[in-house]
Amino acid sequence: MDRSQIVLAFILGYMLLCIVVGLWAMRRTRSTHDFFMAGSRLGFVVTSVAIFSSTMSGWGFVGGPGLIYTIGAGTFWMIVSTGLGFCGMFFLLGKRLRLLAEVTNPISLPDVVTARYNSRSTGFLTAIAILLGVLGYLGTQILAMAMVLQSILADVASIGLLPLSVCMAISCAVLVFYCVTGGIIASVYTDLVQGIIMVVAALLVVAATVSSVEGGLEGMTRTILADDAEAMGPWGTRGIVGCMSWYFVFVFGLAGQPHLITKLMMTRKPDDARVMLPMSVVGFLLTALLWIGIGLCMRTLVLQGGHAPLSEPDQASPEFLKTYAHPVLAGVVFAGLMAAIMSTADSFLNIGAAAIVHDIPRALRGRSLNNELLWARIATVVIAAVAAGVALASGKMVALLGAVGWSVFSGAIVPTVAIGFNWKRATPLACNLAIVTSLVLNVGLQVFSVTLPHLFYNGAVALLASLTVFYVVSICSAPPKLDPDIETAMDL
Amino acid sequence: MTRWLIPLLLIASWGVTVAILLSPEPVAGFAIPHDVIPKMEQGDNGQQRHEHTLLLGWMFGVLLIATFGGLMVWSSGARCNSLMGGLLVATTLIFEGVFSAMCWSYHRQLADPAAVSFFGSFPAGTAWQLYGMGAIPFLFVGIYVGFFSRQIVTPRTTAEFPHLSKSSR
Repeated sequence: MDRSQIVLAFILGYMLLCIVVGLWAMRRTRSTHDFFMAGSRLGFVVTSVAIFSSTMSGWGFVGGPGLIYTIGAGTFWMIVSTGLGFCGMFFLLGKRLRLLAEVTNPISLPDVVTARYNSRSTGFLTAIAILLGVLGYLGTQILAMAMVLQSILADVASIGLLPLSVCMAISCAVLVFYCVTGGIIASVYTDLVQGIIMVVAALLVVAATVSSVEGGLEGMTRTILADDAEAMGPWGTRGIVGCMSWYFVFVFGLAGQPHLITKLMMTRKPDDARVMLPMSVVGFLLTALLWIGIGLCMRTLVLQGGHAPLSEPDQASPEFLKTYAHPVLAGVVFAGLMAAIMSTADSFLNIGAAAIVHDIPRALRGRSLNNELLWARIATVVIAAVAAGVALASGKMVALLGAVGWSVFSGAIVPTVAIGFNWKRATPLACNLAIVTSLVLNVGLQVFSVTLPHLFYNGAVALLASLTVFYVVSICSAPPKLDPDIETAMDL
Repeated sequence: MTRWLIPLLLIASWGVTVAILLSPEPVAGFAIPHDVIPKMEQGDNGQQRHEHTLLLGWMFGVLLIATFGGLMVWSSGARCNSLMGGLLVATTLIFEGVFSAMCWSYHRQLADPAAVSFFGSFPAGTAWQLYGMGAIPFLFVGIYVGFFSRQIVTPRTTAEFPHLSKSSR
């Protein structure tokens, strides 16, 4: 077997594993509650791994190294701040969401929002924000998945360079299969497999990157520093303002990522959060080693003239693996790349389907659809197809698309859920206005391609504005009357 | 006090944000294309591009860290004079210190780019960022785990948890 065939064998083996997990999970998925909430009976190990693997998405494994290649060490901020973001997420929501889920028996995050604020309009707007964010973010994941597969297949002599749309169809077919058959149960158990592959891949790849450059890690940093001192400084090429505004959105925004915080409602009991926080932080930081290792290595190799300049920054990971890694390592890491992407994409498919078949109909009609489980499976397929279309139509770089999705969620959900679930004074009107502010600013600034001075990140302005609107309106409104059960869960 | 702390910090953050947005931009701008390699950026002259924003950026960072620390104290329900509250405040102050050390290190690097000191294979400023700020989550994790059963999920929470679903039916 040659190198490309070994890599392809690993990818096929990994995809087969996902299909097997999907079939196994199908037998455990008997109701809508199983499909969307795993019956609220997940263990802490599987939930922790699902949380960190869903965070370290294709955006991190493919877009992350590409960002270091482009802007240097400034992107380290995203890694450092995400680690802190986990702390914020668990302090704010680790216990609270599980308690509120016990009271409300939800199928989705908007269910809990509706119950907490006793407002269908707030639940509706939360679902709309989730759906918009899902389309952008899921599109990113699907695009990354197709790019990785295209890169692998291009090296197999008997296959050659396939169109991106074909690679998208192949990878989406596997993803959609296990998501449709097994719902969130398949999603979290494939996340478990995927998380383990990602950690192993990251540790192995760091060793490979260090041995690929003379002088190891310090050799890389000295080469980059000699070429451009700023690129290796803490602010990279984007400057302090750009980096600090990213920091803001990443630290505070993690508690607003619905695909992550929804998993906090799926555990057996609130005590599980004690172990889940350290496991999530350690898992994420270990997998981030791949982001740093490949990014620095590829920038160095290109600067030294040892590798041709990349046609696209997102090619950093695939190029490194194809050129410098041992075939078996390349196979494991390519499987890790696919795993990173799929572990996030499956979560988005699930919450997006919940928004379409459950949250929006309930908000508009006051009741769910008949035969909700069947519609959930159909919606999963439709969302994947629409997101793939969005990804094909968008010419933007993978990492930037992902960041827009992240900021849409941050601005809309952080005030409503992360703050509002801990603050009885928060009102439905404040939440509605905060969500609308976030959507208008995030989408508006993106549509009109607004670049703020000093590269201040648009998403940071949107988050700051939505938080301010939320606090001001809540303080100025009459205190809301809470349902006694909700109040009990908020007092504990 | 904690109740008003976050809104006050948000107002202060707006003040610094507006000051940043109104401050003059460097002539060369940011995200400058690399001289030789396509699709790669270079930072160019750090002194020039950070002439008006290093102090404002530091202030913005200090406010964000204070907001983060404030949210940790507020959400944990711990009083600042309790052991957990005190540790959270102390961790936030350490966080502020590490961030300030990083900014200071970078400032010194700008003054004398030839004399960059290395620590753990990275220039000092980047080392503070990766090893210093990268370690801060573990302090918060330690507090969360250490005080979990005393302050976060207390025996009362555990005892009442099974009754929550029953009461809502």
